[in-house]
Amino acid sequence: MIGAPAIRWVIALKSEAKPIIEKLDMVPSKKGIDFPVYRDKKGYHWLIISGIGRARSAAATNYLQQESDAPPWSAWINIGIAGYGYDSYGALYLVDKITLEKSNLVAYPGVAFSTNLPRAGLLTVNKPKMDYSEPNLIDMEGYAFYEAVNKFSCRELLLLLKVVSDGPKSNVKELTSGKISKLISGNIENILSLVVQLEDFSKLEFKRLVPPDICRQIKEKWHFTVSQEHQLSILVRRWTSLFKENALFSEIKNQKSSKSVISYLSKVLDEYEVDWGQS
Amino acid sequence: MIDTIYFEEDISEHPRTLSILAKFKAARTIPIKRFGELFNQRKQNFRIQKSKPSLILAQKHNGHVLQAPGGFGIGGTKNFYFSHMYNCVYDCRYCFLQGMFSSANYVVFVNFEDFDKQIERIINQHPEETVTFFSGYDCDSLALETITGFAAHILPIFKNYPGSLLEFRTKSIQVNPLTSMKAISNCVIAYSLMPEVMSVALDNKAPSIKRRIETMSKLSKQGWKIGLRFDPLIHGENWRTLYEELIEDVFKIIPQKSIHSVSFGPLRFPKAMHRDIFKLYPEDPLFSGPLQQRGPIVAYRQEIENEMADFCRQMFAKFIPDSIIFQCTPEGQSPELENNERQTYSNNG
Ligand code: SF4
Repeated sequence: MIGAPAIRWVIALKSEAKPIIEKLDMVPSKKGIDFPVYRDKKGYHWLIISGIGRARSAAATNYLQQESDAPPWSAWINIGIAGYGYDSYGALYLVDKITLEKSNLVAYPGVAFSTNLPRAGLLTVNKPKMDYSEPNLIDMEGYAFYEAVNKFSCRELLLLLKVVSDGPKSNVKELTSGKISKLISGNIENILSLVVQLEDFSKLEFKRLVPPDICRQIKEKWHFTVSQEHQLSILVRRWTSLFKENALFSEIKNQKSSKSVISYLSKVLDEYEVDWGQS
Repeated sequence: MIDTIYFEEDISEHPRTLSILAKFKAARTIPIKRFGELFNQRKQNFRIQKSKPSLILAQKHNGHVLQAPGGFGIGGTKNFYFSHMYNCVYDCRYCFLQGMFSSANYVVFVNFEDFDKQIERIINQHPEETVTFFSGYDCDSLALETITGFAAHILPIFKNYPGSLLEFRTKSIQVNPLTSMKAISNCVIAYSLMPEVMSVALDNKAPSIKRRIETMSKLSKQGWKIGLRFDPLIHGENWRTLYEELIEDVFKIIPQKSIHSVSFGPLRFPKAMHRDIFKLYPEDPLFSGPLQQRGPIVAYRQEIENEMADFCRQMFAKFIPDSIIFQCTPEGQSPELENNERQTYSNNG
């Protein structure tokens, strides 16, 4: 769909996902065979429940990318609970640095969001960790999620959010599914305000990456080779930056072939003097 | 507004790091090992980053001062350039930085003293020649001066070497370090100019041409030498009238005695750079004009280039002697950035 955002959620636990599934009116997708997968009615938002740990998070991310046909302008979100030594139980943090435990591997998610949310680094560990002397948030998926997404997307289209669930004064053993869902739902407005920004980035990328719709109509009328299609897409981009998209078809309708469409558009553009006052 | 600052751990205690961090008390600061691990990462989105760039404080280990490519100069025999920063607060659509770096974040190198040493070494190697240094090849020289203080740092050094020449190329109207000191005779403050209507469309976030001219006038009154840079020349409807009006306006306001030099050059991109910038901003009218591929470059048709160059040269000649008019001729290539296809037709300023 034109200008549609594409958002993909990767969440470890059902109880973490529940408030988001409800808020976005998501329903189970038939595509969820290896992992539970949900989607909203328009197909803008897809969500997968990965289970705990790096391997499952990476596998689920790849699975969702394939099963949801995630386009290149998809933005990806990982949200979940995390331990934190500063013990701000219930606080939502935007993650801007991820370190993989017992390695030199560090990743930096994009920070182009406008938000007042507090920020923190994240340490992704292999086994649950009760030692909170660490200055970072602690989870078991973040780094693997980043690494998997970064294979097919950029760091600006990637968002990691963590809600503090345990720490020196909040015993992890006291966490229940109900409490976890509450931790997420308690932050839902802040989460969604960042999602709106991510949707805008995704829409911007859609506009940048997808040729104007008129290209499709032109290709239906004349037959273009692959290299001509590429030329056409560039010419149409140039043309639509100067004139109204809907005027293009009548401009070229008398052309006999794809070749003459291309040479006509090239000629018009190569001779055009941009009116900078209008642009 | 910068709200994220990454800094290399090695320079966490550097006085300049501390003073810059002190200016952004509310910013989130993130230690990193080397700026390249962040800045040169492949999967980054320049366009989204440009909407809210972060600052990276780093140390430059080598290549502080480099030989300027052939065809780039304002009369001196030896030309060098240096950049205490990568990237720019402005967002000019023709800027080569957007095709050269994968990140739009600002990098500031805090070890200014290493730049000083190399500058002095080069000057001392060429005692008989006028060595010209271009500051801000990879950024705008003055746009972030309130944060970096680089101009204020480097100017006193040039005061000691009156035989050399320093050019700050800028679009900035924040010129405090210059207005608060006595003009230095071997320093040129060079402003990039184009007709206002083109600048409005292309020089995003940059001060208007009117404000730039006012600032030049202010600086000239204080005794600073002014450079006028009509680079790149932009084609479009009524370009002759637009350039004629601009050139007449500028020379009416800036006294001839204050003008150190005028240079002009065509709009040109290396082929790969044009492809990358077009991919970033396919909807921009800059790329819809009569640009075409000519060998390894994308540029206006040759006859347009020639016509514009001849016209502007004749206009300049009405006001100033030929000896201070320079045409940038794209030929050479910067040794450091060969792989990135940076050529002399750098359109920054
Ligand atoms: S052209 Fe110059 S002023 Fe414009 S964005 Fe590039 S460096 Fe900055």
